[in-house]
Amino acid sequence: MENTELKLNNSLEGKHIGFSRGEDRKHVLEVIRDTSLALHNGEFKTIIGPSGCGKTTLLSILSGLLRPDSGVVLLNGLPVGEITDRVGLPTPSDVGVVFQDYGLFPWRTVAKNVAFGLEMAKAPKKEINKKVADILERVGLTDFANHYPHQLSGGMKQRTSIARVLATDAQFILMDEPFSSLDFQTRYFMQEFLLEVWKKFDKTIIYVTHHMDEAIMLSDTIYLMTSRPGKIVEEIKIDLPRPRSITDPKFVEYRGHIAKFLEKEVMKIFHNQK
Amino acid sequence: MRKISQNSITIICAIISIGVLVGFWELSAFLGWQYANIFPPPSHFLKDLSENGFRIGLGSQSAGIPESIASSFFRVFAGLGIGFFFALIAGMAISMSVWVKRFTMPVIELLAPIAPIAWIPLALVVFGIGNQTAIFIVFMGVFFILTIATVKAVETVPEHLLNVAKTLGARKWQLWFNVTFPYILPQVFTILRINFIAAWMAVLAAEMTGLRDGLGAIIMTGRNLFDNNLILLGMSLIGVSGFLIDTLLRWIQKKFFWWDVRL
Repeated sequence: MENTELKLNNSLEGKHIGFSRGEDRKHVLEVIRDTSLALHNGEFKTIIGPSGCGKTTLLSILSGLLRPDSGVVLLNGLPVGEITDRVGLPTPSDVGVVFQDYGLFPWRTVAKNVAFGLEMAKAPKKEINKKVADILERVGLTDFANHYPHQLSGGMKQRTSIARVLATDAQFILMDEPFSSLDFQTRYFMQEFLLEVWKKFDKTIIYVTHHMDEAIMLSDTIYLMTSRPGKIVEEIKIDLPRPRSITDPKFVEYRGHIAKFLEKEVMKIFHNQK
Repeated sequence: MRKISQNSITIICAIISIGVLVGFWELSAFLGWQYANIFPPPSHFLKDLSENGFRIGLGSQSAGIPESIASSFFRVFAGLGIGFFFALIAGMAISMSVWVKRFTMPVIELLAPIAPIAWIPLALVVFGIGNQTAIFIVFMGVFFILTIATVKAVETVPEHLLNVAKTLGARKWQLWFNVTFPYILPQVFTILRINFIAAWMAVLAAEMTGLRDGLGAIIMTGRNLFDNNLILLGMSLIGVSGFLIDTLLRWIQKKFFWWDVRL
């Protein structure tokens, strides 16, 4: 639905999310504890925390792949079910996910990968072709439409998986360390690319990373998440005009603050292991 | 100077090695090193064949070489095709439920090791002498192994690829057809190729024991007529045909099931 008035009120919220996993009652691992976060139209938010703090699990819960043990996920104010055959919420046109390892289907061309979501929604062929061509054009992949994933560089692969989410018209895009397997140079270009996509397509993004510079460079707001059990304990508003520079004194200040937090969390993990 | 590719070196070496074998065979017969009528070289059996108008056997029971090759090929491919198709369906159906898997897998694993040749006597009784028997034997030779391969392959479909498809809106059946099925196809086809040799041998054995035509029957005719030219001709044809089919299967794999899912 291309109704801007409706879109203005779009939101994706996690309220008091708790999640544990374990084989039996004796060996339960608490992954996330009482964590809340909210995404509103057009925002770019980042979750940063030490490795293994449950960031990926939190995204899985927000995308509907996992059901939280406690708390609730609200999409536009309404509680969301788990993706099952019966409960279809949230739909790909609400929430899309971009994974770290691209998750491209090796037997499909770039165009066919991008068309996947539309095919699953059983859209008419004509409409799919038109939409895919349009998206590929807008993200600069037209020349690669008939390439297979193994013929692409890492950056191009991730571009394709972003295009695939854009094709379903997802308002909320959840990104799980999408650029962490890319080299430094490519990562820089992909960050630029992502900001461009964010503005051009008017999307709402939540981005998981463990890179401080990336988080400060990209987002409006940074959530700091503690190590296991993961819990969002602080929300930092990044008050810097774009494009941002890592040499900006304020940038350095933000980084110092986040670095101190991460250091504390990593030390905590270290001591727990002893 | 143009560099010769690794590929062409491989082909050249293959031609040389086969050439040396055939050359030695011809030469030894020519010099009388061994009994040329027990191991007649190609020059002998091909000459003999052309004198008989490229037909094997006597009178009304005789068959042409192309017909023999065609009937063996038809049997192998029909059996492989039917086996591949039903094994994929059976394997995926079994994988859909843990309970079905627990009850059916023991039976399948019990039947899989029975050599296809062992089914020949039963098949002859049930289907009689004809293509059905041969196709059934090839089918039995590949079906159980491919079903097990399919079940195992389904277990290797990575969770993250299924998650991607789920977040893009794929539901149960769509996941099967759009992720699991294309993911396992190359793996199962590889197993098919490996098992082709077993299927090939099963057809030849069937043709030697019961059926009256096909490549295996050439050897039996030769044996019955004490005609070693025919026996060696049959053996050579079996070797060359088997090689050609394997090449064809490899080509099919490269052309249609090329994606390496274990990247």
